[in-house]
Amino acid sequence: MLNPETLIRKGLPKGHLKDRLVRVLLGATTYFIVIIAALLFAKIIKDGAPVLFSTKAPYVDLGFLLDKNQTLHVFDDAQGVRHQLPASAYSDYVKQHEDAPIYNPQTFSYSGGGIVGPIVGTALLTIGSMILALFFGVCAAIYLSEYAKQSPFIHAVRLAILNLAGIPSIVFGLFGFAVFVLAVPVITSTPSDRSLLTLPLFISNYVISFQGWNSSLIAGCATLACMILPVIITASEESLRAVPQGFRDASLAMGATRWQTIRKCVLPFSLPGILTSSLLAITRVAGETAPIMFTAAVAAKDDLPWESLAHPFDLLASQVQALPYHIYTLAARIPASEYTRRAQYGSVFVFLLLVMTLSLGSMILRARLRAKLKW
Amino acid sequence: MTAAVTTTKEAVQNADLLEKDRNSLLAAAAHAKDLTERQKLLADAHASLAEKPGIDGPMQTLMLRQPDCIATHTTLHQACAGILAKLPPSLSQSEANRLLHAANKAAPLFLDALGQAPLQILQWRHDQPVPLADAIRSFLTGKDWVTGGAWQDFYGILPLLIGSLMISLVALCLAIPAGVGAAIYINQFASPTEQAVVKPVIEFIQAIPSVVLGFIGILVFGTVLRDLSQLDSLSWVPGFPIEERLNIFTAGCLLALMSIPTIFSLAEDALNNVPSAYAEASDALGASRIQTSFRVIIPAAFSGILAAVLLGLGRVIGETMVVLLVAGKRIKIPDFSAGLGCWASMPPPTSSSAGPITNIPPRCSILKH
Repeated sequence: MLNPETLIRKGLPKGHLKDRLVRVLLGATTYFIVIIAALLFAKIIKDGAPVLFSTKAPYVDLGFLLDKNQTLHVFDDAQGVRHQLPASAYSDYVKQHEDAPIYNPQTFSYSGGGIVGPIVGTALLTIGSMILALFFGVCAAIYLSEYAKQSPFIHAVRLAILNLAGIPSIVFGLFGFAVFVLAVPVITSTPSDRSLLTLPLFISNYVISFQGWNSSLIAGCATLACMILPVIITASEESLRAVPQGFRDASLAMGATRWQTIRKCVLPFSLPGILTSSLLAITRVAGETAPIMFTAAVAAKDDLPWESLAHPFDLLASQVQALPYHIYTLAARIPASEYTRRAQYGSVFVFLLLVMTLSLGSMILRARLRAKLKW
Repeated sequence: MTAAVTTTKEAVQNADLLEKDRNSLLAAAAHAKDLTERQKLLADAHASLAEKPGIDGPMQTLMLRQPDCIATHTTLHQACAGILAKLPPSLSQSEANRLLHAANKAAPLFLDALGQAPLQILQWRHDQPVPLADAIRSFLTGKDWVTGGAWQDFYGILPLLIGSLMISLVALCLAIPAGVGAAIYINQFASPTEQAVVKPVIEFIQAIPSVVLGFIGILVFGTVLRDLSQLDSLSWVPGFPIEERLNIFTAGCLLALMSIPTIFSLAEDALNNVPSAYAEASDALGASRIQTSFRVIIPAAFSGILAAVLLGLGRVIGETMVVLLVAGKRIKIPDFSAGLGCWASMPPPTSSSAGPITNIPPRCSILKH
């Protein structure tokens, strides 16, 4: 339905030349932006979709999603046929055709095989950081909205949280590097040389050593969690406050304690809101490169994160590949050529598909939640 | 000479490392429980006792060359002054004339620096520590950011700051008209169907991760822009033709695209929040649509639009990945004296192709050190 304002104003004169000129100019600006956005998506889809999808059954190239990342070898054989083989297939080929000469050999790093490592790494980083951020964020939100009294200190805390939301992601990366990678305490029997401080534990020869977690999954998760904490806290507080005061009053009147009230009468109703808003945070976590560049990501890794681990906990201490960092590597460190296009556009397409799906999901869920939740 | 300096520097650094090792061994020995272990650690410590290399010897050779250096400087100064005096006031060819003009302009600075050099050489004391105030001042006002050099590292923040500011300026010059213009159009002139289509599309741009934009910039947009700038019909634009794919302008364009959604949605909100009574009153007075928009609604929403622009600026200044990928990797203050064309400067070094993260551009180079 048209709003009354537009109906009223429809009858006004609008035939002036200047009027029309300004309208056209502003409209052109708007559609220019839309066209740029459309071109951008079209380019990525045009070059990226053929890597992932095909017109023949099974329609999806699972190899690209499920293979490990390898170096691509390009060469001509004696018949002048051009081969493009990832490193493992190349070594098989060389073994089988030991005598056959190879002409014009070229190698392209990171361009062969698939991208299962980066996908898995991004998934692990996202899951880990969401667990950390949801735990701390929801706890902080419950404290701020249910327990804390209005005081200058709480006001300052709120202000600090708002400010945290405006900090550039590279600063979080630097913070994570300085704190989680270099300075966080660990319990170990062999403190590293660059340990800032060691405290004896008096249990065999274990010490608490402030030497950081190195560049590892857990350091990356912690850094990303810091980055999205303000989003989670603000969203959680909003959904907690959306629960009518009457629910709390009724529960307290029945003799329930404060915590019982929160657990049974407030949290269940605000949980959908919290989770929906945190989907937006997932989008951000999955898409950010700068915070993980120095804290968790590694350009090339042969094993998947859980392979060849001495101990399950080593998973947290190992570096991972991540999709955004993989794209950074593909864009910055290898020259563009016809052989690297598959890896480059394919990765970007998969990444964009992932982020856009999450983003669209959070938009739709939020819209539905807004429409549904009316007390 | 270079070899001697480098070896001395390495020797001193090694001695420092060994000293540190030895201290940690001694500390460990003090805490060691049984006697044999302690003996062993102490023995290790004594074994690693390194002779601190004297820097007096190399310094002596260096100092001996002082008179030579001063003499060379003086000769150079005189020779330069002589050459400059002999230069003709103008030349026939325009290119030569331009070079001559540039030389004349730079000459006084160069001569001045040359004239001061002998005095500075004499005043230099190698054993005198640099005062803290000097260090801070040179960090804030230094014009060089050189790290990982063989001789000395320079940490001057100015080139990084100017790079960031210029990129932000380019981005905002593009993003403010586009973002605010689109917001005005969508809020004031568009039909409801247009609104329903365009708003989500622009807000969708916000969800594009910055590394993807950087990727597009490096692989597609940079090339397109360079090819476009080499068209003859566009040669009147200052700075065209652009020789490098990666420069301030490319990065600015992509950052503008990033900040447009922020500016658009917030400015649109601000326009939306103007009470409709304002517009109705203006309409009732017989104002045309455009008069109402530009004389009543936009002034009323101005503070909101300004806030939107500032938040957009925040997004641009804080962005890393696009700049890291697209802005080129030379850390250098652009040459403003060359006129408007400097917006397309700051090209990367030629061999930036497959290097490791040694060349980190403006904003994050601090992270490597």
